[in-house]
Amino acid sequence: MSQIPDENTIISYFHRDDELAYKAFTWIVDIHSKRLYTTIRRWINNHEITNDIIQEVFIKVWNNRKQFQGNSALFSWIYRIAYNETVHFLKKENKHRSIAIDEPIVSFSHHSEHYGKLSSEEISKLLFEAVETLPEKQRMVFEYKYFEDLKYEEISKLTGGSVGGLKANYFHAVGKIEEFLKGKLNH
Amino acid sequence: MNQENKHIIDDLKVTPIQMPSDSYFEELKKSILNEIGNDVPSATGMKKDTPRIIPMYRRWYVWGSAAAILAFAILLPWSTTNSPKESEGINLSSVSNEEIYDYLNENIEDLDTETIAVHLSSDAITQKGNQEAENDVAGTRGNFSSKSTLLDHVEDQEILDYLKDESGELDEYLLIES
Repeated sequence: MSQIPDENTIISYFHRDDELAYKAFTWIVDIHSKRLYTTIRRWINNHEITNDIIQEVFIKVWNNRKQFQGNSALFSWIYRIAYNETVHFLKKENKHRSIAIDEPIVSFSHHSEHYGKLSSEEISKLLFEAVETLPEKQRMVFEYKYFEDLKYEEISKLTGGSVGGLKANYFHAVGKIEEFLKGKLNH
Repeated sequence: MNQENKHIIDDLKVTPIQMPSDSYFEELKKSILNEIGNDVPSATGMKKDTPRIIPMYRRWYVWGSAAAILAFAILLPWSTTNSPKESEGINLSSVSNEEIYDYLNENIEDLDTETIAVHLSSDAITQKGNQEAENDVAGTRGNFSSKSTLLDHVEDQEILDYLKDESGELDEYLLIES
């Protein structure tokens, strides 16, 4: 694989009308496909559907490349397309209940009085609902910090923004999720 | 961590995502790049003129040819086994296009022009010979097409030529698809 340039160079190529745009796109797929896969897979929790959605997302990234203004990090823009595509898919197919879930996204690390007799599947669903209520930036930070245990510096590279700002976002996200879960669990 | 700072989500354990192999991501990339292949700009700013493969089922003339062949396939055995009076009852207009397409959908793979041609050149023509003999006795010139109002004006050789041509064309499409 050839040396991949920095994001600014990739974006400048991406906006062109020649073969460099295509080259930039191949780099984008190389850089972001794995991260995007884990992100969508966590939302959908099914490999086959994730596979379909991720292809659709990258095709939309290509077809709409002129619309990316560079006001946010490239991955943030791709993340937004992926999120919208997934939500659209779930609405269209009405598969919230019929998708064959590979595995719940969380389980209990130990017995917890907070969750009563909830199963891993039930708490996973509640947690997913809670995450869905977050604003985009908080949702991204929460997902990459909580689920993938990325360092703030790594998240900053992906999504843009300062480490301090990301910490604040995470703090607010956890508070809102806590509140949502407690409400659902009648605390 | 003291109890006050502990969140209830800390009691949960995240299930790691099972990542597919690197080869999956290679295939994924190929598939995506293949998908956008027709929209790739060239160095001159023009889109690459790569041939676009149109699925065979979308070609109207393929459907048309197949429908014509199907009509032959249906009419020929019938025309050789029924009397002229009975043949007047057959009317393709009573069969809707949808029914023909449904039939083709289900049987397209079984519909082999070569088989039809073989059928034409053996059974049908043999029967034609028999009928000619019978017709000669009756003092009239007969051939198998005389029993079908649709084929009245078509010579046998023309039908064989048509099937030969169609067979070649269909093979060409099959090659493109594969």
